[in-house]
Amino acid sequence: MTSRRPIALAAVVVAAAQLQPMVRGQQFRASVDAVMVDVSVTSNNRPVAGLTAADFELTDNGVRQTIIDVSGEALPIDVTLIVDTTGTGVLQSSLAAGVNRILKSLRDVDRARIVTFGHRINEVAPLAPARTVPAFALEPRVYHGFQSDVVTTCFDALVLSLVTPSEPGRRQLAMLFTAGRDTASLLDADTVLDVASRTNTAVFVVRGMFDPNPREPAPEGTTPRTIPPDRLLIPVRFFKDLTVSTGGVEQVVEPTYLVRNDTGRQIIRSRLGDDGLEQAFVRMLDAFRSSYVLRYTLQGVPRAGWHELKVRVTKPGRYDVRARKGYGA
Amino acid sequence: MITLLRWPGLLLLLSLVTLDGRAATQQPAGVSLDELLSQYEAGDRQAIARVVSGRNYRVLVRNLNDTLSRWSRDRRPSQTAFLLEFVRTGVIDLKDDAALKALGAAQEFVMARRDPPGRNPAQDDLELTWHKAAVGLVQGLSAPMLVDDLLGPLRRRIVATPPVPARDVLVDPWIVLADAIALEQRAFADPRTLPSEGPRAIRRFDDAAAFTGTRAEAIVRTSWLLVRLGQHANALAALEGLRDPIDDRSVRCWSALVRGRALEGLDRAEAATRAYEDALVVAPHSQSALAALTALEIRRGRPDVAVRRAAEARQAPSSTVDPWLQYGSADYRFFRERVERLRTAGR
Repeated sequence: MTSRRPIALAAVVVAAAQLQPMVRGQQFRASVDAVMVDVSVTSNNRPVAGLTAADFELTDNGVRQTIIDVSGEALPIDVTLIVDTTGTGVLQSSLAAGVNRILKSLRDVDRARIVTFGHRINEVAPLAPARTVPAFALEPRVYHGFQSDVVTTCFDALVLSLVTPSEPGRRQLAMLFTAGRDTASLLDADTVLDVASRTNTAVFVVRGMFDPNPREPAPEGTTPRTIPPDRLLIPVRFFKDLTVSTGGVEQVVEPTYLVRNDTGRQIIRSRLGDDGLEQAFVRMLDAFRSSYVLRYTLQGVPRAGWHELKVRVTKPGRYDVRARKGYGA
Repeated sequence: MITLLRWPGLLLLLSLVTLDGRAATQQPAGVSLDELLSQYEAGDRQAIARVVSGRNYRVLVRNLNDTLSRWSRDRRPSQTAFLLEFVRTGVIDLKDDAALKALGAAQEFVMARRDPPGRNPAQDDLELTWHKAAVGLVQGLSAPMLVDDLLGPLRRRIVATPPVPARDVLVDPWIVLADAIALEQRAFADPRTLPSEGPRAIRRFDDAAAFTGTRAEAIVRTSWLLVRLGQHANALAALEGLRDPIDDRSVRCWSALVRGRALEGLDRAEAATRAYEDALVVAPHSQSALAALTALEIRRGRPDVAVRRAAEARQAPSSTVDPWLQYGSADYRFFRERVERLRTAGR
């Protein structure tokens, strides 16, 4: 089941007939025929503020729609933080700090959920007002012995985290932290992309990678350690497709590199400061917050099936416009 | 024998260690490998786990050559079990010469037996059990090259059917399945080689499917390879070969999950749903089965069911083990049981 659109077409008949309330949430329909779309507009990498409905042109399956409302920051956000607990090594404290920074940055009206994955997927904090979610911690870990943690299920975790009930009028954001690996998911990349396209969640990704070619000099008493290619990495294209298709953003951080000391021991060096990963998370939240939510009532297009979206800014100037590429109804 | 220490993907992952190299000069509470072995032989099951940490391991293996050389003059079955558990607990990465040296030494121990293979059932059992445990260990590390190194000397020593004319060998079709799994792991380790390596593995699984004891697992693994190759109809046809009830719970669960994926590939959503539900009967709370059902229900336009399935998966009891996560580590799922047999034989 890798072909997306025919399945979407088949699915919509049931959805439209039986399951409107839930479908509205899942398919980001605010009312029977109303659609909400997150749109980010930047110019020279800076968010563009102050745009109105008249500044946007939106087509749904090629038919221009009338935007009835533009909102954004005022709407409450539901954030799902999806955290890969494997392969994080020295990043663990920084990663936990990043998650906690997000929790602190959310408002009273916002809600958060934390899902971790590795050899099992675990909702460590169910959806609750962000202020009440307990601080997130990752146990400091010294690896030795057989690694049950070589098992990681990024694809399965994404599907299980993205499929959540959502309420009209609340924006849905997922933030994935991953080392970019998947070793044991039953599901595949195509399935995740298909599922993501059917939810109304913007997926933002922080991908923490080893830097295979560090430029900084190795510390005294050590020699640089080259890193062989990791063939089990998820193809980079997947993260790009996931974020672009859902209106999210991907950030790649290469915070760590390897050296070998004089006893032959490999040591991970981190080039990030204490707030290294925190900043990556915060930038994503800021990017999401600064985006607009366009609402329109579907006109001139059959509800059923796959809807291709195109959004552009008509106001003179050079803009980068980011929005999900479509949705299945 | 084990000579090769390279497997980049795993090295990268296992290299994600937070270890201070300078600490490797500290002594691990004055414990030597000999003392650790004595504690182990005396029935202290936790001795290795208690003493061997990332730091201590390095110190303990510093004199490994001398220790193994001494042990080779006084071989005991318990040493072979001890070395397996020691490696399992201490191994840091596949550049770990010591781990492989220890495995190699233990392999020599079990093969340097009084009677030729096939002549002494107790010795045969010890040797086969050790090899199965050791191969399971490196399969668990997803290191097919190491499996090859372990299997290399065994290919003439362990055969699937009694040879004609007769010669001194061990007979166990497990060797064919182990061989096929090594090929399968190699195929999955690099998506670029799956189209060429996958069919090779399938041919070897066909050989393994000829034997009752390895038939079910060989068929299920063939089917999964076919799913990964996009040959869903063939994958489903392969599963038709599963005529008898499957004893192994893990394989039973895998067969249902693989059937589900094959059916999904053929757009048979209802049948796929039933297959995933069969998997849940075998392994309630299997997150893999629930993830598959979640995705399927969303695609079927039943988001309320999907949301319920996803929540059930995210909140699955932490005590449950999803058999699908054991698929990649193959025989490692039997490691504890096999080491226990070795320990018993060593008393």
